Amino acid sequence: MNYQFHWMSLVVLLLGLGWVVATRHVATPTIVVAPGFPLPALEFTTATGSIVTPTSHGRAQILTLWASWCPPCRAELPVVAALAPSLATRGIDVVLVNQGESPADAQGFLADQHITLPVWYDRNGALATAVASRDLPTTVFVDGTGVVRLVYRGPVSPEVLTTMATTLTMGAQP
Amino acid sequence: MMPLITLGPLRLSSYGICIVLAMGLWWWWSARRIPSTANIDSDGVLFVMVIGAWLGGRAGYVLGAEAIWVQLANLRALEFSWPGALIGAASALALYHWRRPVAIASLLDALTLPTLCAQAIGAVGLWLAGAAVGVPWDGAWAVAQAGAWRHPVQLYEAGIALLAVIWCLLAPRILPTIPARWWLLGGIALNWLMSEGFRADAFTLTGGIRVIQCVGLCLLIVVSERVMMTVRLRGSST
Repeated sequence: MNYQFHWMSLVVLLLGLGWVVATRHVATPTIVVAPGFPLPALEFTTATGSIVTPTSHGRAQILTLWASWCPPCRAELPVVAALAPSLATRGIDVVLVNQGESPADAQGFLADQHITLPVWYDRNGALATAVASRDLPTTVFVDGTGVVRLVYRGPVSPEVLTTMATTLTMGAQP
Repeated sequence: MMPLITLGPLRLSSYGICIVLAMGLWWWWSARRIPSTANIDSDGVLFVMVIGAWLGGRAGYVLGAEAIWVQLANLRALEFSWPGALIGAASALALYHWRRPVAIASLLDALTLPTLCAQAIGAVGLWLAGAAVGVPWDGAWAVAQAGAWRHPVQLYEAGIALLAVIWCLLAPRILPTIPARWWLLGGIALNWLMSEGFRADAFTLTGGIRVIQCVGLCLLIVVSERVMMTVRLRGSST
């Protein structure tokens, strides 16, 4: 069979290969933490501009990544806020990590909702990058030793919070 | 960026709405474009293809997602994989053809414009939902997404699909001997090759080469060969 590869296909092949190679994407090395590994030393800011780092001091932490423009986040935050006091008595701190917004925008929404949980501001998406999540809300469960136990993408239910609270505090029980 | 559209008590995923809209338009338009002379049970075959596209689109996303169990349980997340949908629809068509043979060439010719338009609508939905992440970039039309300024890769996909639509409308006058189905395949291939080149969350091989771009390039070569062969055959016969 006399098959001839056409010149046009050769041009397409060469241009296409050039494009594929030119646009290859090697992700910038970032610390992506999976459940079972320690949360890296990320830095967030508070409403007053001071720098904070999620350190456990023996207490577990639930980091809720949210934004006020995100409807699932707006639905989730009251649920989290309602359970936060009981979680605190079990040695678990709940912190709201706002992604990309100004303190004025975030605090306006929280004031309307009468939510008084501590808020950290993550302007550069460091937490989302660290846990490789593109979803809002995302909840990161960190145990008392600073190890991530679960990265939950999407709105958490009270059942998930309760179940994870038990998991987070198992090692801390006498 | 609007992850959800709130309509009174209803909170609807903007991406999900666009997918449903795209599939509805695709079905309605395709049914009208399938020639009656082709003797095709249009409703039957289109229904099977929509089911295949839906299952393939969901399976493609879930299989590619990192936390599979979370995504399976997350019924509100209408994430959807376009390559998965195409493979699902093609598989469903093959299955249908095996049971009840249809004139596949005529069918695909009829589906060309609706499919490319559906892809454009779905891509706009991706953009509205803030899904699909472009590579970081701070140029004039960069969008803020996932904590950085990025290429609006979803709009690139929609734009290339619409350019393919325009080409499909012009092609019968310029290259009348090439069946529309090859432009459909070419449009899809070009999109995978070009727009995916700006995507940060694509599955990559060693060295950062994206798998979907390689698939697109292979398809484009096939289309190029087919077009050139047809043009040459027609040229030699006249």
